[in-house]
Amino acid sequence: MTYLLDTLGLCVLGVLLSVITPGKLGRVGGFALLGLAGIASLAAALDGFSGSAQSFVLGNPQTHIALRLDVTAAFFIGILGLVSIIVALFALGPRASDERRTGRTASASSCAILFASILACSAGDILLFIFAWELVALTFYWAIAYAGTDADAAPSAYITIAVTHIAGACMVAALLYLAHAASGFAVASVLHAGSSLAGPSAGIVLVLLLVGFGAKFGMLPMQAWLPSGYSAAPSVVAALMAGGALNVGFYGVMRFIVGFPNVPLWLGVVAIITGALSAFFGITWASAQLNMRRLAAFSSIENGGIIIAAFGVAIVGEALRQPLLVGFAIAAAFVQIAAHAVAKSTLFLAITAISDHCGTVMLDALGGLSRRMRLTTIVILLCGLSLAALPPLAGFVGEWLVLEALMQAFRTGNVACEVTFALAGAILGIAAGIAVVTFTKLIGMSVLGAVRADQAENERRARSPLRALGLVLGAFSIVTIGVAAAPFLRVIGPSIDGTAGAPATNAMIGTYPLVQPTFDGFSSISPSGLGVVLVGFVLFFWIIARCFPRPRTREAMVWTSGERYRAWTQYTGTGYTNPTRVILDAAMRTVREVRVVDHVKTYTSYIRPYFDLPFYRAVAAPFLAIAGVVRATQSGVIAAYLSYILAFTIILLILFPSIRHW
Amino acid sequence: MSWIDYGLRGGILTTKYPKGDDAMPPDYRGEIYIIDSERDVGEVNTGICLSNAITRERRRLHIDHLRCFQCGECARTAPDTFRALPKFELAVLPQNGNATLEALKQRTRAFGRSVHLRHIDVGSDGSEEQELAAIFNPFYDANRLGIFLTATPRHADVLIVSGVVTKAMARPLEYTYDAMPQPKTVIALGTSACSGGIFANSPDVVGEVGKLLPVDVLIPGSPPSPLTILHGIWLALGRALARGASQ
Amino acid sequence: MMSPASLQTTAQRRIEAGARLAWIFADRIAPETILHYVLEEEGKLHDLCGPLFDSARALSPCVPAADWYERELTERFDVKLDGLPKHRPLTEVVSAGQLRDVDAPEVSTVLYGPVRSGIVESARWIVETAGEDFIDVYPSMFFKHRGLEDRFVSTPLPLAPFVAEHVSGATASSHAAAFCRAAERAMGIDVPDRARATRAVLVEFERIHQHLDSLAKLAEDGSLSVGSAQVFAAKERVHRLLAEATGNRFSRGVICIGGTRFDVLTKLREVCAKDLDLAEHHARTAVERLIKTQSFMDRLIGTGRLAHELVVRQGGVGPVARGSGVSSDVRTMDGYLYTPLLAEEAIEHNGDAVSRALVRVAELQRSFQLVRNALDANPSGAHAAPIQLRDGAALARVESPQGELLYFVRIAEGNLARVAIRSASYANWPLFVPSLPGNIFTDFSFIEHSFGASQAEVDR
Repeated sequence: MTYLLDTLGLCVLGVLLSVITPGKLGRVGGFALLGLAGIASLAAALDGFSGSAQSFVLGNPQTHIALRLDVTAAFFIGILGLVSIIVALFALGPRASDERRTGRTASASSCAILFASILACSAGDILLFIFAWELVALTFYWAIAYAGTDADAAPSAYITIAVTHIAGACMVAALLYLAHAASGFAVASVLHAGSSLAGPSAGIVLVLLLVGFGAKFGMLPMQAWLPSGYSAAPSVVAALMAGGALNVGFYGVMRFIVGFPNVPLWLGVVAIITGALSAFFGITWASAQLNMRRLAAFSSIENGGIIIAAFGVAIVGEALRQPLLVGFAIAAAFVQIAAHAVAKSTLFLAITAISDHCGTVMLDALGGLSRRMRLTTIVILLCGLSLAALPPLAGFVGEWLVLEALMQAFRTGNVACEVTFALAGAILGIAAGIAVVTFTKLIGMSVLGAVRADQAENERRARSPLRALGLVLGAFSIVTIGVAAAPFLRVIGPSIDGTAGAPATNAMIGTYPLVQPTFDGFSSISPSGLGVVLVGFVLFFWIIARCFPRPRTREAMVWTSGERYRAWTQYTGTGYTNPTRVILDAAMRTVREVRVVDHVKTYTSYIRPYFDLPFYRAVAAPFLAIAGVVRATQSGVIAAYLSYILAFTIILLILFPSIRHW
Repeated sequence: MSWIDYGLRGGILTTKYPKGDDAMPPDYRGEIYIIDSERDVGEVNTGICLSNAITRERRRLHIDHLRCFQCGECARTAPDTFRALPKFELAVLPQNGNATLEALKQRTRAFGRSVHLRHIDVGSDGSEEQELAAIFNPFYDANRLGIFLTATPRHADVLIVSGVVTKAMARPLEYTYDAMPQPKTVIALGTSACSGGIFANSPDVVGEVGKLLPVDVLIPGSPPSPLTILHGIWLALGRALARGASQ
Repeated sequence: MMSPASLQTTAQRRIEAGARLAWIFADRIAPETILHYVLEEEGKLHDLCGPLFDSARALSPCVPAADWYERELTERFDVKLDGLPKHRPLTEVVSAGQLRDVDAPEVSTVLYGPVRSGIVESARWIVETAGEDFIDVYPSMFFKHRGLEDRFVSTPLPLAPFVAEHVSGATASSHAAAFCRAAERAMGIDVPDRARATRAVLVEFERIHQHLDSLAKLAEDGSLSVGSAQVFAAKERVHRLLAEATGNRFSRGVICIGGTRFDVLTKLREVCAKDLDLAEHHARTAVERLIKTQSFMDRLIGTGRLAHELVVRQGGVGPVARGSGVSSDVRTMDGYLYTPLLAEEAIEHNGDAVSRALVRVAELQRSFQLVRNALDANPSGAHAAPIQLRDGAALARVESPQGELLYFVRIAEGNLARVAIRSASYANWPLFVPSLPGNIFTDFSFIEHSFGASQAEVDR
């Protein structure tokens, strides 16, 4: 518990230091404290895994400002800690080019985001949870609006706050309704009250909760804010947000929906379908992005979808009272959460390194970085491979477990579930395929190929040992979670078992180093064995190639139809994914425009995702219409308002006798 | 299926050349032969040749086969002095080059039994391309000899250059040659490529291929027939017998 | 000769009234430069010409068909034309650095050529693309410019047909026939019927082998290996027949001013009696099987579509025009090579690659019939008329396999003073770019081979 309090304290200190200390020192101090807070929260997580639930009550017990550290919270706090350390190490290097002035906004908002996220995960009562939740959203809004350098930072900040508030409203309404039923605010009692709710109201509460939490990780249809928000925020903040704070949403789902007593089966089905569709659309839209950061953000929508599908399986397991299925699904979700957290934050940091080096994050303007940024190339390669779920990296293990969870359909003995599981499995399979295309594009167009024109060089920022350390730590985590999946599962085991209420971890890693579903004899893989074999394979061919004398080589120009080679003749990222866009045009709705101004052509092509701004506008239209009507009464004349009060008082007086009867 | 059936019913059309014999029709104008180079001295008008292939040196008539574009005008106007023979094995090694057949054989040994050609047109009249393409039709079927076309010079063993090198094609020709791996062989295809033909002194062109690249085998003809081309490629691989050039 | 001011106005008025602009070229008679506007009205050619002072008004803003001609005039002949739209150069080879004029990093500018894969003539297409579809395509040609029009000048008249045969070796007889006809008209030579029939037969044979070549290449593009091999084999039979009859596989060295160099018709009749049936049978069956191969035809349907109006506006000729329903066959018009050989036109209306292929298939079969008719007629008489040198200038045209081929010949003081060539491929290339939108990369070679153009006669 002390570690948790240390974490929170260090975060507050970091915010204060960043705000008060002028100049570079504030930023450095802030991020240093963020790193320390990260270490402290890792310790808090280990603390949480080991023991039983611990509470810390502030003030007298009636005010309910209570912190609570249990096994479920411990996992999320640990992930947040790991991501914070990676981000802090990277940020302790030189200031990123998209941070304004001294970059103190970035350090202050990073500390605040970590504080709020940890607070949300350890909140013992829902008022504190709601407060922390809103704090995450507000800090992120503040970081975009105040420090965002993107031209459309303001609209991005606006849509971010709008969507998160609508979602927040859904969540708050549902939680307060539960609190009303429980006549108290403690999380445990609130959840307990859920069991007494009638069917329809429980359903409404759960759907509201799902929408509310889903917005945080971009679940359809609440995803529109995420790409613009992530790409407009200062890059370090975006990394912490995408890898860290996003997990608060998963925590909410885990705690309040999967942990809901008597959770209905259909909610699991809804979650699986929504998750599968989010994954498919998210990665489909990601494949068409020109901006690396937007691509990474859309890929978060995909991962959110995959994770929510796993949680859906857990819900189904809960509804069917199959603790082993629940445990397995939660384990799958947790591994995927961990894999996504480290890969995504590291990817955002690597993108920052590239944008500092080249002055752009547009894929089609990049190329040939492999020779100039070797470390970044390796890191971005590992992040991309992991996010594309290729073995033996973390993303592969996570997605393999999720798909395995979906394959347990036959254990449900329910036709609706079997169909949903199969369908979702197929959709996730397609999504995984498109993910490979997407990250091939990301890697191929940025680090491979020839150097394109107009790439600004900035060697100072590219060479920083602290930055390199951050990236290496991120890459190391990706590889470790993947290759050492079994030990990793053992570490987070208490969290899985405690949450599921069944000894799932032992069933999964029974025969070390194999990882298998909680059910024996279904299937199993050994990620570490796979890793060794893959490395051995490469070594084998390398040695064979070495055994033969190297033929004499001669460097010649790239062959371009008998013409001098120019970088603009090479295929672009847009060109590479164009076939995908043509095939999936129904999902992308691509618009292509060619304009000619003074004999110079400009070409624009963009996709129009579903549930984007036009969708929100359509949804908002009736409300705006009502507001328009109501506005007519708001003339701003003081006499009018006085007369309203007068009229209202008179009406109350007339009605008073009947009111008393209520 | 119906295509395969149709193809099979057509029977075997393929020539035995170069392992066996083949012949052009008797009236084919392959090579001009001077019946007696000392006769008719002073009577024959060397101006009847548009590409100046016929010259008179020290009271002897001389014909440069690399310049001859097979119009047959000399044989028609001076039948007593010149005769067109239906010869098709016209490919030669360049006279001034240092490539002997033996050296060529050494160099092309690396190609083994499969040789990949890359063609480049640097200013042909369009018929050389069609004749080169014809060596892959069922009548000649160059693939049976292990001769293949390749799309990129990166995979090519032999560069076949057709046409007189125009100013605009000089640089692409050098790029293409440079893009090929070692060892490589260059074949000049057609009279214009061998000597410039009727464009020899034209101000609009650079000239014959030999001005830019080390040519190993010259295949004269306007256009050279597919059999001539097969002979040329066979010669470039050191498998056919060569005549001394321009005899 | 017309006054300079009225020349463009008259030409434009007549084009707007329905005449087809066939050609614009310049002829320098020191110290003047004469501009020629060649129009076709109701099947007859009209040559409007007049001297150029300082500059003239460009027609291309109103008449799209004038575009390439006027650009070549300004670039090659220093003719100043007012109001000519700014373009990148047509006839000068632009270096790669200047080729990119699109300001969008997601677009790659593919330089397709000049050295392309396969056995093809050198030409460059600059393709701007952001994926599979074309954003824009530019021709960048004239890599093969060998200065042929200048090569004619100072060539002794009897040898000049050999130069014409070098313009496009694959369609040598068409070029030689067109050149000789122009020269004969300029000098007022009457060509005997026997020579005219011979020329007609040679041009028809040329049409046969070039149409077969184009269809075989289409089949090759469609990965129809056996089909392509069989059509190429049919083409080879025609070349062998010609080699035996004329001494050259492309019937070169036969046509001369005044007729033919030697009496080929007898030999042709003899060889055809022996081999023509087999050649025709092979060509006919292979081609018929080709157009019945549904998987192959499906690939061509709708590919490279050209609207009728577009072809009329751009002045397209040959099978390209006839595929879009535009009547353009010189053989049906008055005063062709050999009058009894009037042909019925093959017309298709869809304007896509299928239509152009079907036009070729129909023409192929008719050409065999025309060859037989001419051989059977076997007109008697001399194989050539003697040349009587006389100064003059004339236009002549021949229906080459690619379409209408125009030659202008001016003879001064017994020597060739100016020869100008307007090949069919030159007239059709401007149509290639508008046929591309809506198609993807893999359609490129289908469309290119459905045009069946010869680059050598474009670049000259």
